[in-house]
Amino acid sequence: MNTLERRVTDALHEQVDELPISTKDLAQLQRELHRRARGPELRDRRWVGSRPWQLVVAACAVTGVVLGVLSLRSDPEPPKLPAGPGPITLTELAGVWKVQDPDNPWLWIFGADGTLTHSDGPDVPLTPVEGTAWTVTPVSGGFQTVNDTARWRTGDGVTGAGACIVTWGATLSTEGRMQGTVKQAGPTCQLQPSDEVWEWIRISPASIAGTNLSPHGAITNEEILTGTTKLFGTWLLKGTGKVLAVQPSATGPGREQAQYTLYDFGVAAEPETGTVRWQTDGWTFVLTPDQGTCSAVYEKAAYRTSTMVATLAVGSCARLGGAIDTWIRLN
Amino acid sequence: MDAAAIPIRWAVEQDQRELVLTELFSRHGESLVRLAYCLIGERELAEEAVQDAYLSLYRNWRTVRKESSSLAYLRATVINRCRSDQRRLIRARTRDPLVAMTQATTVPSSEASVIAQDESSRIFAEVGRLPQRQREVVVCRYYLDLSERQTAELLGISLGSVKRHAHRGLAHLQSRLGENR
Repeated sequence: MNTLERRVTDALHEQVDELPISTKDLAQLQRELHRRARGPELRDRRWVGSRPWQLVVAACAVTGVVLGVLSLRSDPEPPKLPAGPGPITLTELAGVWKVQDPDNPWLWIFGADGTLTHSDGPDVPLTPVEGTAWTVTPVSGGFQTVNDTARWRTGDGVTGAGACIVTWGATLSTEGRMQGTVKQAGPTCQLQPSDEVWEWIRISPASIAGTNLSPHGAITNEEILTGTTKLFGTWLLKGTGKVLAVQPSATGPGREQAQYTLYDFGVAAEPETGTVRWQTDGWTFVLTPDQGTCSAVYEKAAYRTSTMVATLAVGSCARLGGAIDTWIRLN
Repeated sequence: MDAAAIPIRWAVEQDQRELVLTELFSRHGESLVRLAYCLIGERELAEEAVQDAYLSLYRNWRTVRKESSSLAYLRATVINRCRSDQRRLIRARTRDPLVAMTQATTVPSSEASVIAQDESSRIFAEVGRLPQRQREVVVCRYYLDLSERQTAELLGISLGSVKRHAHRGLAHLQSRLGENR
């Protein structure tokens, strides 16, 4: 090592090693790390006193001596990590997946036939957004998405078009979570390879992760719905794989009438479509399917923090869930 | 498959992963924050980069299991993340002339800039001004004390590239430090 190299080495160590990092700083970082690792739906859960944290603390105490010894080794062997799930198939992908980000409203809808559409609104599967029809092919370690006529627009207003092939490295968990990263992408693709990890939760067919989905977004006071406007969007019937998409009717006025699509991948063969009509009493609304006359009548719906609780009217011919349904807004 | 058993099995796996995460953070967390700080020069960004590296490991359990060393994976991820942050900082500075002017006089960070103008702080600042790959090689070689081969493996580049970037980086530092004398 020459003089310059020695000066650089000494300077870097002097400047960096003097950075004050306290035990308290590290503990705070570690708490934040665990909070992020557990995902946004568990962020409100208290760590102190919870079983996983107790296990972590207990394990730290027990393994403290072992770690002390290990730390003396210059290059310790990595700990043994649990095995993950198996390869991905179109059957496993088929369904509605929500991007696991409270602020991201996009849903990914994989068809069993290898199609893929995306939407951030209640327009799937009625009217897929132009340029978002993709095909999906399983590949080793993930899947590949292809769009021959992709059209895209960035936040800066730049638009583009052309064939786009994106190769995803992805893994699935038995509870209905998927994680993936973009491994390769053509130059015309909006997505490009990066270390960013995407995570999705399967909403429909129902999954453990999906049924445990919690409301997100800004906390709002409860309000009783008096028109269809607040219904516009995509909703998940809590505890099930039923998805209700409500959008303005093409023919009727927005406040009193809307169009709905109800689908449950893996259970119902075809989505049910129909109209939502608000009654003149201001509280009651009726969902009437296009096929048949048996309507579901709700006498009240209360909305609070991305959640709608709807009470079925006595004597309602049809029902979407139980006597009282809780719907979580997806977008 | 017994559906009722799934959440229990998942909980066990999650607990195991959290235990391993805790172990790895205890072992390497502090040194990785220092590594990131050495590369990016911002304490807050450094801590975020390290958290992201551990999250990446947590979320890529199967992939990491195949790696020869979890520390190598964490270091590589921290370096990648710092590289992205550096690009983002540069883009932000380019878009906003006011920010650009401010940052141009404070690279690599406001924390570093307030340090007295002694030699070590000047060298640290000059390392922060090196082109990205040169900076990474210099940090790996002279802060992590890695060999040229270990540096090449960590950064995923050839041995020749390591030699070239190290030579250019040191030449740049020699020139800059000479000018500032």
